[in-house]
Amino acid sequence: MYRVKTEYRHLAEFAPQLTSLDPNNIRKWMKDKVADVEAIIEGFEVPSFSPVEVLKRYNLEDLDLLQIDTDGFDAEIIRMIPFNEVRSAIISFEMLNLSLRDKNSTYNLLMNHGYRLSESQVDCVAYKINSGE
Amino acid sequence: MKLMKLVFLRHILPRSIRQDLRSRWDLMLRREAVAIELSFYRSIVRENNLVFDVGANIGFKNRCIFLFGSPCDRDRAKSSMHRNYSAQWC
Repeated sequence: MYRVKTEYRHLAEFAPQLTSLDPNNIRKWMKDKVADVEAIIEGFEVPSFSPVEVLKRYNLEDLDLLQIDTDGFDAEIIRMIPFNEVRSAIISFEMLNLSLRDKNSTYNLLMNHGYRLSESQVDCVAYKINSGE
Repeated sequence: MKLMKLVFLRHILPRSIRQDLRSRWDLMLRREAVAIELSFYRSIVRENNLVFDVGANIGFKNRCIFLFGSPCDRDRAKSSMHRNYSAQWC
């Protein structure tokens, strides 16, 4: 993952919270705050598990809500979901940082798996009409 | 987003008053954002629901979601958010 180095986090109020799997997101938000944006970005590793691994590890069944907000990586995460193994009644994700191409492909993917979509200004909620609510 | 829709009105105010009001305006926007988030999760999350929060930052959405869970979950989300917030900002 990528984040703003500790010594540069005073440059913007949001800088301490700016962490993304895509360094372009850091560049996009910080390019106006510093001359050399590359110098303020650092990469770091975190242990990670796929949704399927977590469900199996804790012996859990279907999800009621999958909430995704990963600053531009949301489409990639939705593409990683094995919809035949992980079923979520509702998927909420941030579409604000998605490119038009990612947005369209994500919407098509979700609709092909039986979801209906509802957009707000920032987020999109995908829900299954037979989910009971 | 009722307040956000009024943002264009700032241009009719003198600059000095705008600057004076900025922090209060930001606070009002934040409160509105919290209310919107709470309203959203209240409408879709029920007790005992299984929720995955991918990309949880300081845990604000976690806290909103857990408000509709058990008291134990609420306390855990609250302390987790305070701990993460302190680690990032203090």
